[in-house]
Order: sequence, then C-alpha cells, then structure tokens
Amino acid sequence: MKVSRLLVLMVALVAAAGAVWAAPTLPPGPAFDSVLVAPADEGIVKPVAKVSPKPLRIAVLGLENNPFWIPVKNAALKAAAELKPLNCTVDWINAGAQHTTDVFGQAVEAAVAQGYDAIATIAGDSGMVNYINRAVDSGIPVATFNSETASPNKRLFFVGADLYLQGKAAGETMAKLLGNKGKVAIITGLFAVESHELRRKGFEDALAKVAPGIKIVGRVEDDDKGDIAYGQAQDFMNANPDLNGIFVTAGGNFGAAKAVQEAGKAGKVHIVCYDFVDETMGYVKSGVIDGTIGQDPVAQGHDPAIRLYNYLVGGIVPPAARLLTRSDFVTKANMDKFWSPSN
Amino acid sequence: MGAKVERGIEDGPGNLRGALSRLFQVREMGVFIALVVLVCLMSFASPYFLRPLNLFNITRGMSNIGIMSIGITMVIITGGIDLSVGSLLAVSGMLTARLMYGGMMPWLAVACGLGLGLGFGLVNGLIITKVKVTPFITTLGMLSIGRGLSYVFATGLQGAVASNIPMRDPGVNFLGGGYIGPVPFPVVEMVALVLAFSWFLGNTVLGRQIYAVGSNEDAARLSGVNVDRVKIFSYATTGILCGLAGIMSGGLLSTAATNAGEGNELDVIAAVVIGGTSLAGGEGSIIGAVIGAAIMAVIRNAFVMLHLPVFLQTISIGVVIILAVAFDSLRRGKRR
Repeated sequence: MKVSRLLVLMVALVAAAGAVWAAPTLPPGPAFDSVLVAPADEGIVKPVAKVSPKPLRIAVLGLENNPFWIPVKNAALKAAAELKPLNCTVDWINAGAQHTTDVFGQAVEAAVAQGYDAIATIAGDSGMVNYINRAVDSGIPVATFNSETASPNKRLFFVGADLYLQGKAAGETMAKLLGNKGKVAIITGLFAVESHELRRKGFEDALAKVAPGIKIVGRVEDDDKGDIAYGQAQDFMNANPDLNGIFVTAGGNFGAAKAVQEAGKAGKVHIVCYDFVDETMGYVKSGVIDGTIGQDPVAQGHDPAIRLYNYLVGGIVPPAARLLTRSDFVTKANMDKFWSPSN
Repeated sequence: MGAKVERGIEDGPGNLRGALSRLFQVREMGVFIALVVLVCLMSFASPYFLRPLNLFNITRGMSNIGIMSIGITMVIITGGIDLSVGSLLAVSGMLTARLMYGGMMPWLAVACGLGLGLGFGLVNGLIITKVKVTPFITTLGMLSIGRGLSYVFATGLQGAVASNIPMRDPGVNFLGGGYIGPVPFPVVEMVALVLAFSWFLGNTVLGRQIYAVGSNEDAARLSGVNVDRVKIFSYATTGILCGLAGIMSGGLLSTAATNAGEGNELDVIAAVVIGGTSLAGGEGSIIGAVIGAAIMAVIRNAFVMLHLPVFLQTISIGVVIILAVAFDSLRRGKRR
C-alpha cells in the first residue's frame, strides 16, 4: 500500500516537474525544398502580438567584411528593436572575417554554448550541415540567410536569393539590352566561390537559351577587387573593340564601370552587376552601369529573427522553407526606391 | 645593376665573343629575352596587343606590384622575406582615405599614410634584427595585423560594417589614376622609382652593403657593416613603398577597399623570383623583378586578348616561376 502510494506521488511529482520544465512542443517546419519567391511580407514581416512568457535570446550570425552587409546588419538591428518590447533580445554577432565553415561552424557552436533560444546564420557551404543539425538536435531552431548549403540540413527556413536564378535574370537582361546579339565578357569574383559560380552558370545558361547569338569572349576572376576588374575591362575592350557588354558576378564592378566610362564607351558597353554598394550606385546614377540586381539585403537581415520569434512564441510555421528574396533590377530610373548613400 | 657588382671580379677584358657571352651571363638577360619573345608572339597572335593603349594598360596594371617589388628585392637580397606587403598596402591606403574623409588636408593625409607604411616596415625590421624573430614569422604576423588594422580604420573598433572609404581629392587620386597625355602616371612613378633604386643599389655604399649582408652576413659584420641597420633600412623602404602603392591603389578608383592588395605578397615574390633574385640572398636586381612582373602581366593580358580559358592562366604563371628559376640554376651550374 505504502509503496504504491509513494509511486503515485513520485509519478505526480515527475509529471508536475515535466509540465514546468518541458518546452512547449513546436510544430514541424516546412519541407526542406518548398519554395516561395518574394513572400508578400518580405522584409516587413511582423512579430506576433504576444509577449514571450520567458526572456528569449536570438543570435544572428553575420559578416561585416564588406559594404554589402551594411543594410543586412541595420535590418537585424531593426528586428532587435521590434522584438525588444516582446521580451526577446536579438544579438547581431559578427562571426568573423570570412564566409567559410570554420568561421560559421564555430560561431554556431558558440551560440549553442551560450544558450541562445534560436540561431540565424549564413551557411556558405556544405560543411555547415553538421553544425546546423547538431544545434537543431539540441533543441535550438536554426534559420539560414543569404546563402545556404546545397545538401539538405535541419534548418527551419532560409531567407535569401537563389543565386542561379539571379544569374539567369542577369543573362536575360543582358540579352534584352543587346538585342540578342553581340559580344559579352564575364568578370567573376572567384571561380572557387560557389555563389559566384551559380550566378555565372545562370547567366551563361540564360544567354545560351534566350540569345545563342551572343558570344562570350572571355571569363576572368577579379578576386572581388575593383582595381583588377578595371584592368580586365580595359583588356576586354582592347581585345574586342566591338564588345557590347560586361557582366560582373560579384565585387569590384565599379572598377569595370570606371574603365568603360574612361574609354568613352558608356552606353555602348552595357554593364549588368549585383548589389547596392555606394561605388556601384554612383555608376548606376551616371548611367554607366545599366542596372544592378538586388537580393533584398533588408529581408535577409530582418526576417530570420522575426520568423524565428513567431515560431518559438506563436508556433507559426513559415510559409515555405526557401523564402527567396526579390531580384530587383535597379536602374537609374528606380534607384531612389532601393538605395540611399551610406557615406 | 647588382649583378654587375657581384661579377665585377671575374670578368677579364673581353673580345666580341666574350662580350656576348658576358651579356648572356647578365642575370636579367634571360628573363628579358623571355619577355621579348612573349611580346613578339603576342603581337603576331593579336592585332590589338601592340597598340599603345594596351601596352599602357599592361604597365599600369603592374605598377603596384612593380613598386612593391623594389622593396622586396632588397629584402630578399639581404636574405629576408616580407609577406606583409599586401596588408601594408591596404592599411596605408585605408588610413590615408580615412584621414581625408575625416577632413584632414589631403597631402598631409598622404604623408600619414606613407608614414604608417614606413612605421610598419621599421617595426618589421626592428623585430627581425633586435628581437631575432625570423623574417618569415615576423612578416606573417604583420600580414594579419596590417589587414586587421585596415578594417579598424575602415569601420572603427565597434560599430559599422567594414566599408570602402571614398577618396575624393583629385590631386591625390592622380597618383593612382592620373594620365600624362596617354601615359598613366603610375607607370611614370614606377619607372622613376625603379631607376632611382637600381642606381642606389649599384652605386652607393648602403646599396652594396645590402648585397654584402645577403651573401655572407658574418663576413659583412666582421668587415664593419652595420648589418642590423642595413636590414632595417630594407624593410622600412619596403614599408614606405607599400604605403605609396596603397595610396595609388585607392586613388585609381577613388576608393580605399579593405581587400586591397590581398594576395599581392605572392605576386610580388613571384616577380622577384622570376627576375632572378635568389631566395637565399646575396644576389638579384630590381630591373629583373620588374621584368618578372611584366612577364606575369603580359601573360594575364594574353589570356584575355586570345580568348584562352582562364584556368590555364593560373597554371602558366606557376610554370613560368619554376622555369625561370630552373633556367637560372642551370645557367649558374654551367658557369661553375
């Protein structure tokens, strides 16, 4: 009798403790491959109107190694301000100097060790899979942004561009600018960087499909550096006096623009490139760069933290796992909508 | 120039054959002939290659590497190495841009940038000579310190994301992006510096002491050469030349970039080695290094001119480095 009563008491105690300690069960996330292009609330997703019962901490692991990250960081800080009244702190953490797994893998481990309730991280290559899965297995939801691994992992969702589609968009734009004929040169950042290669492949595939009459006269890498791109653009124009276009996949595009401008070929040699760095936008404004393709850095910095909060506190599952950001084509005509100078 | 100094003793009075063979023994001759052959091949292969515009673009493109290779040649002749050049370029350029951006008088900012390069070079030299840390380690450390500090100058310790800092003074930007007629001003600077330092190495006491230190440090010390001073001088000169290259690199595009000069140390060392300077020290020349830089620049240009697959470019530069040193070592084997 006594023993059974003790047993009942113990079971009751354990159940009570469990009720207190166990986290509320979270719904499963969307399927890994589900895609939504440009969700309606991209960049402006609102937190659920519900204050977290316990203080939450969300880590956003980013980079600060070039001006691309300025709007990303500012948007993360904006998300932090939005979540502060809801009993949630968002910490923007500069993970290190580079995109690599050593840097971001360690940053994820450190965030787990520091007891963050959720993590948003850049996931540049496949090495990140194990780190992300370990964090998720220990009960911490992880979102990725900007770039994600090709191989499946247990992240809840991804906010960023599909780089191959961005490359395709550039190819189609270039074909249109050139009237489907002529000569184009490609200046890529690094052949060793997957994201640059995806853009290059997308661009070349699009040209091959839409405008097979366009000839690619060369492919070089500029190490993301403007001064190298400057010399390369000069070389391309010298070697091909009838050059019609230059496509720059990554950094240094303003160097190519300067070379085109100096050669007096603005408007004859069309330039299509990416992102809204100040130097680039100066040349968009003067019309030397025909257009630059964005990837909504604001959404990349802002949305992961908010959606993670909504998942943790409101049990709201994101509408798809791959929330692809808009590829705005920003030209002289519409640039004011997308950019204001940071310097 | 330096080559002449070192061989002055063995050359007797020559007849024509002797003169010719001596000419071919001049260490720069081999690479110079290689460069001429390359240029000839290219001018047949592409109608655009020999146009002045293209040649000026090539020489402008190599001017930063050429200017830094002047310093590194001296460092390597003393038996040292400097891996920090790319970072010194970045940090000096960034400081100059930051100070100008903050409202400092442009040329004063330039002086500060050059001063910072000089300071870094001095620190390199002092650590190597007084603390006896090997040049490889010292300058490897400085590579990181310089790069990190250029991020600090770009952004501050806390706060904003690393961004390029605009450089808006046309006078300062002329250093890197100006033209005198059709001639890019960086080319003028490079040629002037190469001539001045070549003369210096061959015709001044300190210049000759650089060779003496590299060929036999103990002998140099015993014969009264202030070895430490010679070494510190080489690193400090390299530092200030990197500073100039940094300001030029920023001036070219009117913006100082945090990734400026990344990886340049390998290009500079390759140029010096192709030009016949021995990593063991004691021999080498600035002219050779500049010819080495020109060979690499022509190869890079060739791949664009001839629409060749770019991956082969990287391979071919590697082949050139090894070939150059191999020929040099064969030539020397013959002489002995």
